[in-house]
Amino acid sequence: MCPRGRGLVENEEQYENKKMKSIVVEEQEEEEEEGSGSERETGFVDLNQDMLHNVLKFVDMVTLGRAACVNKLWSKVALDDRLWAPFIIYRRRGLPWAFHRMILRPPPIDPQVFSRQIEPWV
Amino acid sequence: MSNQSESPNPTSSSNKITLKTSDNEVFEVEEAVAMKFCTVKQYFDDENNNNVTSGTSTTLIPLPNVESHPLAILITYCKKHLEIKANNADNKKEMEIDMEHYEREFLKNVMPQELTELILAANYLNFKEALDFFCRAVASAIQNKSVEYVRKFFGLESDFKPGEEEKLREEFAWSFEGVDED
Repeated sequence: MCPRGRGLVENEEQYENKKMKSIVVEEQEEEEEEGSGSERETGFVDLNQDMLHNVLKFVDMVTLGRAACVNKLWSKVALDDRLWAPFIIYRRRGLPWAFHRMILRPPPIDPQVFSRQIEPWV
Repeated sequence: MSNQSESPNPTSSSNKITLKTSDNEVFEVEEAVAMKFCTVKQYFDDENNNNVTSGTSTTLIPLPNVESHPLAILITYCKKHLEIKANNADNKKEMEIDMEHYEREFLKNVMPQELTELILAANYLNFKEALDFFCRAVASAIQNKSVEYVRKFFGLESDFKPGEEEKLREEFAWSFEGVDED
């Protein structure tokens, strides 16, 4: 995937990228130590906007909020009002948003465990 | 590829429909299975309307946007789906339990990368149940995960201008508590 919006403030972006890469490398190393899931390195190719919308229909509010911080495309898709509507309706009815999550019942997928702990953002 | 010739579904008619994928594989499926793919159904209906006399079972439907690998998986899923539906026609609750059990088993044999092409194929074929199911599977894989994990899982990089991401993270600060550790 070609990152867009590059070249405006090259220095800071490079710094960011370097930081990202070091994180990714660390994760990969630890994953290899685990000896599992090396095929996952390639990740997804790409889901287009519609399919991403379809996927984000099934995540809970917390994940949706985080999805908005992934990149520009994700941000655009995740900030769609239609995706937030269910949570607003549940709130209006006085139901906790966790209720929404229970109804959707995402099927359990094999947890892809990294041994590295990601620090919560301060 | 895998040619599932045995018919587990007693309600399906003997009519076979032939599907041809983009890589020139030919699949012969029961009509009941093919009718689950709305794109195929549409094609079939149009065909029937055009020449009423047809009614033969030798229709060949080209699927230029679908490869054989995802189609084989989708057909398997669809057959099982119909089978479970037929077995528990009177008990919806039990059907759901069976379905959930099957889906759980199903996901064990699917690689995350395959999900992409499965989603695209299900979308093209307009097979709603499968599309929802695969999207749910992806959703559950990123459920409550960190932004970095999502980027890695999808092979993405941040393309925000400096400051944009911080602003978003500030706006969604409430969503960054209690990230799952993996």
